[in-house]
Amino acid sequence: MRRRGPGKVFPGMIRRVPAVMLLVTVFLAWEDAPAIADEKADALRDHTPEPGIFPPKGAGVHLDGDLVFSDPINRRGAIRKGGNMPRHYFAMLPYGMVRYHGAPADVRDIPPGTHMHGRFLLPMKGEEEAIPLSGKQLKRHPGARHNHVILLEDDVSFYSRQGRSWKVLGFEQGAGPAPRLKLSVEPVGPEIEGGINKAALFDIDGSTRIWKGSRLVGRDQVAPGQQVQVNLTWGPFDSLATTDIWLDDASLAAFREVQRQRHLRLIRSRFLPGWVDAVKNGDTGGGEITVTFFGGMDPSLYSDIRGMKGGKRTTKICNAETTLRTWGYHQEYSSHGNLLEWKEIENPPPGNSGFQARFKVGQMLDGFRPGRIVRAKGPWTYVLLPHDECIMTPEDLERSRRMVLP
Amino acid sequence: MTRRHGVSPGAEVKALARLAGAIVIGSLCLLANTATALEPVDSKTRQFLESHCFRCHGSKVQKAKFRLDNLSTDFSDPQVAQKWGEVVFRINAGEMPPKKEPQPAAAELGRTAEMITKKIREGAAARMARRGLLEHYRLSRQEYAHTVYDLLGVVFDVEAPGAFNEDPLWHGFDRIGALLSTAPSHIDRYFTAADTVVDLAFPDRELPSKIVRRAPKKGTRQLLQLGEGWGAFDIRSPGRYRIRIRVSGLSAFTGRAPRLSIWHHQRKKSFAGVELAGSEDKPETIEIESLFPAGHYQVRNHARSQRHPNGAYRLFRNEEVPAGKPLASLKGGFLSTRTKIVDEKGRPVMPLLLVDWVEAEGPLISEVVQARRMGVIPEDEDGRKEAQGSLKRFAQRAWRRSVSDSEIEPYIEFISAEQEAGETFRKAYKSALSSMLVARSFLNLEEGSPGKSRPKVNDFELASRLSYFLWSSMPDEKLFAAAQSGELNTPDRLAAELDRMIADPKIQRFLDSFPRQWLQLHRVGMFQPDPKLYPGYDPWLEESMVMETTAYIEEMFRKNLPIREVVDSNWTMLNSRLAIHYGLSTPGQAKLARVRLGPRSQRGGVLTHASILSLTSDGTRHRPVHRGAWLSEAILAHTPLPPPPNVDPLEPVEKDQPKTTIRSQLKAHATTPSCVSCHAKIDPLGLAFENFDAIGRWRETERVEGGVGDDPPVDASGVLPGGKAFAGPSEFKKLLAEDDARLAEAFLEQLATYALRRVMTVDDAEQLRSIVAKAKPDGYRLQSLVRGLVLSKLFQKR
Repeated sequence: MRRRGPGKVFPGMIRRVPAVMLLVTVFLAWEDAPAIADEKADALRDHTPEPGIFPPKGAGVHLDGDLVFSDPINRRGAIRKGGNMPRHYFAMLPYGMVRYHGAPADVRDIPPGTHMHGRFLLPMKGEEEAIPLSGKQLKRHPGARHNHVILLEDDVSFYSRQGRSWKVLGFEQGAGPAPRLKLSVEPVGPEIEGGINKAALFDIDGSTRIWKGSRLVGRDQVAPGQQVQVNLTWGPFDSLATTDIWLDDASLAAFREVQRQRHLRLIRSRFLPGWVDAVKNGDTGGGEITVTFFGGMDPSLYSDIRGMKGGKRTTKICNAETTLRTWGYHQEYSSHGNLLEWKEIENPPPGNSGFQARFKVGQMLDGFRPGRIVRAKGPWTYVLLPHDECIMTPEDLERSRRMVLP
Repeated sequence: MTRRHGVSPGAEVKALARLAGAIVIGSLCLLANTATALEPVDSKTRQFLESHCFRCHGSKVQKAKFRLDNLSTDFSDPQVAQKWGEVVFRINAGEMPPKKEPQPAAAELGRTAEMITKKIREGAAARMARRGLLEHYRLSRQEYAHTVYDLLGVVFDVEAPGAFNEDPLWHGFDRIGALLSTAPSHIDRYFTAADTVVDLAFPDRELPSKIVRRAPKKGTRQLLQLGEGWGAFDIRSPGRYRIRIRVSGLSAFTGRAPRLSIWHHQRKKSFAGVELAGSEDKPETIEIESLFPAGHYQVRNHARSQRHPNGAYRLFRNEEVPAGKPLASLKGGFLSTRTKIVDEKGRPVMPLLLVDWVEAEGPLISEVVQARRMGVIPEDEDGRKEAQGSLKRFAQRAWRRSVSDSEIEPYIEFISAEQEAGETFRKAYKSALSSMLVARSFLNLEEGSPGKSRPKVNDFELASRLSYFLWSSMPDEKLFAAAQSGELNTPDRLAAELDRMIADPKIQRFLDSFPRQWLQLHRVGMFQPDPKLYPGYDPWLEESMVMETTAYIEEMFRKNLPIREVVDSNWTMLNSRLAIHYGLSTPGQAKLARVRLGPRSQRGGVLTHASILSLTSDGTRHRPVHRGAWLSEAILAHTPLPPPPNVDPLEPVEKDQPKTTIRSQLKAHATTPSCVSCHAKIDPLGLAFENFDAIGRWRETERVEGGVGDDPPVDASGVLPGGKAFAGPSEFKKLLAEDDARLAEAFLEQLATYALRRVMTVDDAEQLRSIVAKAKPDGYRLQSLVRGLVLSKLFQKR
């Protein structure tokens, strides 16, 4: 069987190509471009996020790998690039977005083993200890410093978001000690940073789910010339194996909607996160707070809050930590807020929804300070959260500050 | 003002017929009195009645069987007054003269209604002031409380639930004898109260004075955020207690200072308090010695109670904080879910208290109180004579007069009977004391003598009149002695006693009670402002409002300032809460203090006090007509005509209509001639304060709920009935202050009503004018007017 592209030479190389290219690019740029451009690129790559300020577009580095560990409660996890590579532990930035099946998601929605792409930044100020790495580890893997994620998404979300799909070229039977059937594809659409920009072979076997319309179909439905989307996972000898193939838009739309509904259920019960831009303290315990909501949520959630302006129901606003975890029974530990003003910002930076709201609150909470995170409840039914998900004690908070490495 | 026709023209006749039927008996009685009919009304009124009424209600025709031409004008007769009242009612309601008849001019109609109303009121005043040979003026419950304290040193909480009935008010005064009747329910409560008072004064088992101390954990201080309390302690026996608190009071970054209150948990009110403005690292020790009723108390950072969203959990910061650690360092973690207490610069975002400890010591029995109780119960239980002497001395003090042996004899017999029935002497004697405290001579101020007419009060009556006027309580030993000597009624002795009484700390009772009654401050907060419209309104503001006005009058009295400053001045009494409410810079100190006002402050004089501006509001909006009526009544001592029945209220502005001021709505509201005539006199007095909203805040535009467009600008200009124009409240106050003689006359009328416990009548007018005239040379100063009243013939007149 004929193998294509870099994978033929060195399994797993496909995923390293962009990094190599980046290094080459950086090297060439070092030689040719003015030094100032390099400084800018370095600064962007090593941008340190700060509370209350969204990072600039392009900050950090792109990494990908299979999700091999997750701590959904604290929105943390680890990806692994290949069988011989160490885990790359990460924490979601408070405004870090997760996408799965083309829809907004949470770390808890991603099954282990899913191949993910992410934009990894240095830790936000004050969060340096969130991923506890020893000096030795950092020395061995300097890239581990970039361990705070602003965007994490599966292949289908990553490629479809950027207008990319795969054109089926056919099937190829592999050879060697563990011969596997391969799906031969070539990219359709723009070249994208961190993606596979050349023809590729993905393992396909009986575990691969092939979707058409709203149904699971057999491999015989896959035909050359079809434009498909795939989700991948680790395969033998560091190959990439297909977990799902979507043969048409309808099948992907169905998955997207299911995930969207799951996301809505999650956020309606945990409330919409954002951070405080400004406060205006009264002198009897009340005041005003201005909140910018984090991006990556379903638009209907923002509309729900916006729709409360002038209405009888009030928003409930509670404090959250950088993990977005709330304290105790979050609805009770909240303050009523009347929406006074709703602003929309054009071309917001990554992580920013572009929606800013000013609330009048009868009781200012201590956590209502610029840069601190809050979660706002829209006109949604209150759901009591599982206890282990809430921060109930200072000890809980302390434990949540640092990732417990498995 | 629009009016609602309660009856149709056809029904009008039937209504009049019913009315006539009801009063026919009275009319028949009055037929014999035609010789005096209509004489006391003036010629213009008579002319009006002849022109517009007699044709249908005269000697030839009596429509609805109602005859007016021979109706008596003895307005002191309640039946006659009631019929004249019907006449005014029909005029005010726009029913008379009927529409088909020639209509009088509005001014003429208004004048007639006003004249008849005036006569009716004079008649009522005469009835209320009418005195028999012996009159009893029941003590108000506040006077009862002061009296038992001055008699036996006992604190009796007259306002406690189930203690005493609330006293009826007449134009704010709670001491008008004609209204203070005694019902069976009073008697029952007086008996219970008397037993309680005697038991507290002479307990079977002395309650030792002790000190209760509350302190947070060692090394910590108790943080109290706004509205919260801590440091609970019980007062089992009412009395005088000394509360000591070591505390830091921290003002909010705006200058709003905390008020530390000694809060009665069951009564939900503060019984003492102090405003503080200190620093976190320099605590001060506060000492409050006052009278406290029994109950459960705590130290409270007094303000509105913050309501938690669903009441299930508290986000308050009532916690023990490390003593050496700045508050600003306490944040983050779990605290982030609690109330914010410091801002981003570390300054308090609300008034805060940091309490180190609280001590309550008591009951304190002072030497004065011990002296009051000494000898009341005889030492020798077998000495009948000693018992008689003790009882007589006690009765003379309690009943505030000389007491004969024969009056004491029944009590001695009562004690003997009780003892024979097996009761101990002490218990029997205490029962006798209780009986004396339910005697009519104790519960009432008695004036006059049975079977003997006298035009003047005697010296004991004068002593009581004076002490209840200035101290709201019984005379002290010196005043009794003056009465006993028979010299009290002499000008020199009376003046000397007056000076002594004004210098006594008990004058505070007058300085607190009189302004409240005169200015009807009981109405402040009667209609609680809508929290949605006035979210800044809180109980402490309400208390501060009243405190400003009472303290203002107190300052005027103590400094003996001229009466014109009641309505216009360049100063006021402010604490930080009021300063914030008024938008003025907060005074240097937290406590209520005299503050000089700038020319633009708009606040000099009681008319622009928040208390006065809010007591006439209805909780949602200001009411200029009520403001005018209050000013007319309280400041000018002229009660305007009552409004006709069934007046439609002002409707809220429709959603699709332009926003409009209440002033504009009122203009369209007064439609009938009688309405127009009356409102022309009242409204300017109230409209002058259009720049103040329902809780007394300054404004340039009037907030209008509903309607379209911007809130309209206010117009506070007007023309006084005398023709003088004013552009706003400042000019109005100046115009009012110019006529200080009129202000003094009105003030004196209110003062005399308070002092003499009766309504002033036309018979008193001349003497009142004479007192005012004597006060003119020094500009009608407050103490001079009080002095003039006490030293006048009127004060000793029965």
